[in-house]
Amino acid sequence: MRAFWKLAKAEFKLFTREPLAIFFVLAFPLILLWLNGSQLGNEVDELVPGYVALILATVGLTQLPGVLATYRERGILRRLATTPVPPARVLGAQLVVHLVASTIGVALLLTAAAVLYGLRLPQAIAAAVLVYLAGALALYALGFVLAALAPNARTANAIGFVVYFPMIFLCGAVIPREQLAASMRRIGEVLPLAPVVTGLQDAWSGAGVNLAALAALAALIAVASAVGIRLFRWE
Amino acid sequence: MATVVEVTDLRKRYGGTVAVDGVSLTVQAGEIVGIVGPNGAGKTTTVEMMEGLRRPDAGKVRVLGLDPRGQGAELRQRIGVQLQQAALPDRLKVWEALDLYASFYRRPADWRRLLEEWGLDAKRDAAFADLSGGQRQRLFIALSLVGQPEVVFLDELTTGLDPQARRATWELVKQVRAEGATVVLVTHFMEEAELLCDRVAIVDRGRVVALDTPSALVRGLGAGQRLRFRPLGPFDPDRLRGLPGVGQVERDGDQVVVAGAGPLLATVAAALAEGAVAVADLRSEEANLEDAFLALTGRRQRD
Repeated sequence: MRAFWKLAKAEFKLFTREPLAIFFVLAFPLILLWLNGSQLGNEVDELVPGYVALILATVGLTQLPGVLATYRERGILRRLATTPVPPARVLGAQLVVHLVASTIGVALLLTAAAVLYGLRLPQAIAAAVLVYLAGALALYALGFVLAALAPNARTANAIGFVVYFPMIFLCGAVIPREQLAASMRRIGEVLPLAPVVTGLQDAWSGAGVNLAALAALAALIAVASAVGIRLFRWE
Repeated sequence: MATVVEVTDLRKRYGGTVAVDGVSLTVQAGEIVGIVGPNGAGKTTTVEMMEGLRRPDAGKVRVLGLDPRGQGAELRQRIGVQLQQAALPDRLKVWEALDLYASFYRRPADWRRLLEEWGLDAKRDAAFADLSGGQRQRLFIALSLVGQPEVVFLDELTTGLDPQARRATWELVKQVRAEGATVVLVTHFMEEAELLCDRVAIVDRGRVVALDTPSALVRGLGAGQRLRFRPLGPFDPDRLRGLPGVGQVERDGDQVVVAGAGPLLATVAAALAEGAVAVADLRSEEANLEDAFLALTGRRQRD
């Protein structure tokens, strides 16, 4: 386990040394909050759950696939494969580090929203935490599949962005779904980010535990991790 | 002496290409064994099967008595590997890499000592991306030793190093062996193999074509010595033919090559002086591992 924590610590340090990652995971949600939170008629309690989902999508789809594909392409994973560290632990360390990075982004966002715009705590805190964790695992598993499918790091990054952008706009992460045309809304509803947004919004508003959203995320976690493990190549 | 690496009739093909075609060899404890051969001869594939990175199609591999595929976790605790091509994350610092890799092993070396030995002290806080090729190479060698391995696999050890660093590296490899490790060295530098290795396996087209000490391989050529010079005036080869110890006398462009044995230089020099033949660029050449390699594989090394 010593090796696992050392790996996680090293990976976390590396995350803090990537200015782009820092910007998109930590700063960008705050900018969005500032832009939209200051507008009249916008309810911060409805915006923030979307931004939390946005952070998970940013980490899972634009960070994780690039890191894994780069590590594979450059032989970093191959070098690790000659050491006694089991492959599962290398992936586990990545998972933990990306979860920690997401959570720091979320903590900053919630603090800023509470201090500046009077954000209230979710009505159902346990449900919010549960959806958050399930959403994180689901999006990271999806990112893992993208890394497995992409032949190299450039493609992994490109596919990540192609999946990411439509999803954050259509699923209500950055634009409230009510502002979208009905046809767009329908597309958004079947994308993997939708249950994260809905589940978090319900937890915040007091609508309670959204079982359908949790079931969708559980299914996504199961399928994506099975596919990822099957397809991911160490070199 | 204990057998550390035992490989029997190892085979591996990639698609239609046969990379390793029945390699057998053993390495004894405390030896430095070199695997040399042209590019694409199957050297790296052979070593990667010993490390457990690749699965053989057929044949048997045992390293420290362990099966690299079935008992890989235990084996990887006890071996050190420097890959021909590898990398670390760009922004990882030198000390962080050593500290991290040290945490993977049950009985790690003091990585601060390795940092000094491999001349990386001044680069302690440098990011991997900012290291020169030679510095990266030294870091990878240091990383291969950080677990205090019983066997070290070094693939193209000194590629990318300047001649000085290369010599320093050879000294350190000898020291690694003196401290009790067994070394398997893949190289295409004949000088390196000749200087460092107790035994050398010459691999060509996926097979071991010769396996012996460097001097035995050279002796096996039966080449003896050669003299080479450029006559400054008309020269009759018959003047040398038939002299004691002189074998073939051949022209090679404007030069003359004399093969033979015994006190060849003295004999030839005396004959030339007697005939008042002035010569330039007189050189004595001794056969080396490169010649043995050429004779055995029938082709020149390509870098």
